[in-house]
Amino acid sequence: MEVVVNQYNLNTQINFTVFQFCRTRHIYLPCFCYHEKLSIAGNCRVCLVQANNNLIASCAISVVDGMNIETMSKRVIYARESVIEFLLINHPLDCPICDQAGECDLQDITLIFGIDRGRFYDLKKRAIDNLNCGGPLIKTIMTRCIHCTRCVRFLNEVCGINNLGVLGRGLNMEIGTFIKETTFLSELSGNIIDLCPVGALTSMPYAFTARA
Amino acid sequence: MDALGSAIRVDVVSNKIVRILPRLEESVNEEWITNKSRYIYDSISIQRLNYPKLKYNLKFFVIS
Repeated sequence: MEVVVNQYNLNTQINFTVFQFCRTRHIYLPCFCYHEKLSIAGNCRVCLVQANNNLIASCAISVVDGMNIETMSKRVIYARESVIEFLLINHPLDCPICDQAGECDLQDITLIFGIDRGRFYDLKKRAIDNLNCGGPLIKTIMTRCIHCTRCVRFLNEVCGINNLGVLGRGLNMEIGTFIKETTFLSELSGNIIDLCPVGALTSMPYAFTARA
Repeated sequence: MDALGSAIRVDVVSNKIVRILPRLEESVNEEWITNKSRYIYDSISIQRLNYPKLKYNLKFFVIS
């Protein structure tokens, strides 16, 4: 397949998604919901690229012959800034006390691809109750969640338990357990701490021992 | 730190192990580790077993 990426003619034989293809060519695209080992969700919309003058979520769309992909055009940069701005509307300003600060995907991506000013001063940030999950292992601060659903997909696909799910839609969307107090009956559940791109799921024994 | 031989990264702050994270190892653990491996580190500093103990009538006895 002949693909044009940022005016370079490139070839591929494999059925990549646009995101994976750009990764193999060392073109860095931001992502929250995409993860190599999990299924593709495409709901964070931060990996937007321009393909044949349309904005597409690159992690969910596969490369087609003759595609003309722009990853750093003015329109893409502006769209990305807008998406990140929307993510940051309801993200609390917890960074100084957050355990994830410094290894946070949201911080990095906002620094590199984000807008340099905020415009939503009038809106009140939405707060969400914390979950009680995983007993003494996983600490949740669900207000920080950006709904990438990596944890939901990991528990469903790798652990094989469906304790976490997405409840509500739009502004009322939240990641939650269906039953109020749930223990994840899986020995791999601690991995959602590493998967979480923000500080919504952190390690409880590690909290306040080394950082913050 | 479990019997799988998972690839791990051990984080140390001033002579104390504070965290264990997985490393990417496609042939063994991909990029996950078990909870046992992740949270075993307090057995090194806090709940360390200094002596072998024998359980007898639901009580532990220190043996040499």
